[in-house]
Amino acid sequence: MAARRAALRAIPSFVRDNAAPLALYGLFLLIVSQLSDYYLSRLAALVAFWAGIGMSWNLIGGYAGQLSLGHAAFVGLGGYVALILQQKFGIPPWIGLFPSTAVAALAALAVGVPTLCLSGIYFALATLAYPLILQLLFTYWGYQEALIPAHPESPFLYMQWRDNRWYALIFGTIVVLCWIGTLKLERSRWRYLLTAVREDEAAASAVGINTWLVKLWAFVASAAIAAVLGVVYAQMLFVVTPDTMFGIGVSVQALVVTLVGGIGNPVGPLFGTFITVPMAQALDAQFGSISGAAQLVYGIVLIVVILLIPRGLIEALKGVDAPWLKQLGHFFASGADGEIVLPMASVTATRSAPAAAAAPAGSGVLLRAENLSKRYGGVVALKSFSLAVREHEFIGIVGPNGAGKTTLFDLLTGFQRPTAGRLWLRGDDVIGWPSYQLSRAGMRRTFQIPRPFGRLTVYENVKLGAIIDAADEEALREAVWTSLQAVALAQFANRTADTLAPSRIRLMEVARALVARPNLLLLDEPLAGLDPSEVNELIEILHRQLAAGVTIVLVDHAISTVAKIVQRMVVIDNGVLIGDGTPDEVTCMPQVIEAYLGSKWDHARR
Amino acid sequence: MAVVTGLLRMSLTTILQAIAGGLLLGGVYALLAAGLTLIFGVMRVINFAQAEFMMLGMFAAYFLATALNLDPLLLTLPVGVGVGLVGLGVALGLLERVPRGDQNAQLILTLGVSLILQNLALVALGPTPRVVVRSYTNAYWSPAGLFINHARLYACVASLLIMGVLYLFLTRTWTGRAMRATADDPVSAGGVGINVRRTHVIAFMVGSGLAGLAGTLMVTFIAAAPSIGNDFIVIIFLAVVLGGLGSVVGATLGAFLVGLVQSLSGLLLPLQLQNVTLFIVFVAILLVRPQGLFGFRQRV
Repeated sequence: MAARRAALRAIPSFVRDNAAPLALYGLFLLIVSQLSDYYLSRLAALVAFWAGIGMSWNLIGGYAGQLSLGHAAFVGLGGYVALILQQKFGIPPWIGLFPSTAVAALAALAVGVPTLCLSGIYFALATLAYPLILQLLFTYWGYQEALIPAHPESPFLYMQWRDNRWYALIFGTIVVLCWIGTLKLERSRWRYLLTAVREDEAAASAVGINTWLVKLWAFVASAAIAAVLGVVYAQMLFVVTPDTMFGIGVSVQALVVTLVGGIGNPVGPLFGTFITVPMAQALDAQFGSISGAAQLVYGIVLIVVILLIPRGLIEALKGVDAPWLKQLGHFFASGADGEIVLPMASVTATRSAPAAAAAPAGSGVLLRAENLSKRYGGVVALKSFSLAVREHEFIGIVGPNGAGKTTLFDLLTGFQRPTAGRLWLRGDDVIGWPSYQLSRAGMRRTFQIPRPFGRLTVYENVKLGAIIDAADEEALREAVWTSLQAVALAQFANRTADTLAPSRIRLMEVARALVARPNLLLLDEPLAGLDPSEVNELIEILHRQLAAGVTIVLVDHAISTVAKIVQRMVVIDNGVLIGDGTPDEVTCMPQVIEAYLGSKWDHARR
Repeated sequence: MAVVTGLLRMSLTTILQAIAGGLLLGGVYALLAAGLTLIFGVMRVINFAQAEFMMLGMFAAYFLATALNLDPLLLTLPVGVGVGLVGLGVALGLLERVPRGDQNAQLILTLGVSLILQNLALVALGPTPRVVVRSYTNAYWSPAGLFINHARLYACVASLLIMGVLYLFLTRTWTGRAMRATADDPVSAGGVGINVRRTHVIAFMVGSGLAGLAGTLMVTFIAAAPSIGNDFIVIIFLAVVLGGLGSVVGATLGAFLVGLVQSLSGLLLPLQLQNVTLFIVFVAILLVRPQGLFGFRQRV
């Protein structure tokens, strides 16, 4: 065992980390070099091309979780820009590659900036239009059937080989580079950022991630790779039509190959391509490409995969019990993150949770809201609400259901913009700041309905809490561990968040907020759904954090419980502040008593 | 500016003609858009196969009309019901089998249905366009120097009648009310005893049936072809987005607006740029006012 480990260490880490792509690349080269048949070598090139397209789509569609139906826009832009440069100025595609990739990347940037503000299906709908617009424009500009200027004298300079094996080589190389890049991404912090964005954007911005920017990077990178592939693809086709480059078929095929293998899996597109593309090519060869037979099969494949194996073939094969399959799976998964080995308890148990440096109580104002108002159409959810949160306070905001508590929370944390009003955080005017920015400024929140990153482990969930401002991996590890211990979840570190009991998910959310050492912790109904012993446990945790210097604001409707634990209580009803003071003062205020009992009673009597 | 001066140079009749043409077109788009938005409003599903259901209606009307030598207008109802039943099958067999709220999965399913229908038609029938020629296909009514095609006029009038029936269905029947309730809040709808699954399935059936009706109405002046859906789908999406996804009234207004814009821009722009304009408007609306132009609340 030790000898084997030593032998492994002797291999350069690059090779060790990328054993699967390098081995498959070798195999691919070996097979392709033997393919002298035109049809087979063409097929190899096409398989490699679509695998690359799938891998590039996987960045935005899989890793960032944004279902793009407009991938063709960037394939086409790459191909057409290089083609036009060649037609007009005689620039060889090797050089034209750079400007055309730049054009596609810039187009993705220009289009992505506004479009990535849209969520879910609205994004899908908008992306549908971009390649269609380009397809019509290029048709209008007279590129209905663009012929690439022939240069039979120098095939290498102009990428014009008769032998398809050269194209297969280029596409194969791009695919392997993509693959290695994806594995690198899976080992980097980006994996966490992208997963957070994909799983839950609100939770991602609560931990300080600029979700829009993360998506934008994925979108631009995905477009740039697609453009590079498009340049070479156009050369291989030789006769290029707007439909083959920009058509909806291209975007659909990117989706099909990725979906079949597994969306968001580094090798998903590769698997999917090996299955679908040869099948489609065979059908096209049999019935002709305009017969629609291949497209028909793609339609069936889409439906079958969504209904039977929505997470793709690779995930489905993981369920099959065959040793050789498991071995293969391990081989392909090489380089990906394994299970987190927990640090020895003795090493870290002694460290307590020192949050912000403890300062004398009752000093400056941390957060000040002035006349915050929020209207939804005609409904006033919050009316001229003012509140000053002083440092090291423990405030409970209470009010009956529908009083405007969660709206207030969303306004304070930047999840919604107020209709009117001002907001200062330690003297900085923070009105209009997006949630991730407030989160980075030391303001962390939890949600009324917990928002765990369900498919990640508890450890990873908490790690995401500090991923933005962590200095190095070691410090991050320690912070996560400390925070997990603070909420007594350390023994669940490797459990998937989805499998936790609801009360533990709440605690995990608190740990995710604490790990970043916030100055201000805002908890939205943290006590809901906890049994009495769990409530006590949480209150103890919060008091410890308070002692360590964290300011805490919590919202709840259980006025009696809150009164027992906080120093200051704020009551809202119908969007208006009706009481502010110590719990004893507030619970005696006539207007508070009326809000909780009287007005409802009066209303019922009338 | 160029648009305004361009329009000024044209005669009033040309412009009126374009407006009339646009309104007639909008009437038929309204059926397609109302169906799509009904499905979205109730199920939160973007039906990519909507235009293929229209194509199905066109072909069904074509074959029945030629085989039985019947007027396609008489076939409107049976064909609409038939296409609605296909929709019912899609909703029951596919859409209701994935978790509700998994919008990406549902979108991919309808995309798959669209690919299957379109290419099945292509494999079975070939790419030849087919049109039903009736006495009124090339007949014109000419009030005040305008040319109003009879076939288009009949289609538009029939479409408006159907929209009226749809309105009565949604407001006066319990099934319709259940749909509107489900569109507003599926959880509360379930709470008051509405069978949400049944409502979803019926909404999809009605929505796709409306596309089938539209197809039958159009087959006398637009040729049926397997790929015809590609020309319509973004136009329908645009009408729906203009009106605010989920609002039937909005989609109807949006459909007339799209018809008008398409027809008027035809006076100034070549065909390809006409559609480019529509697509750009589509994206712009999604980006700037995803709730639609008219500010209807998302409600069927």
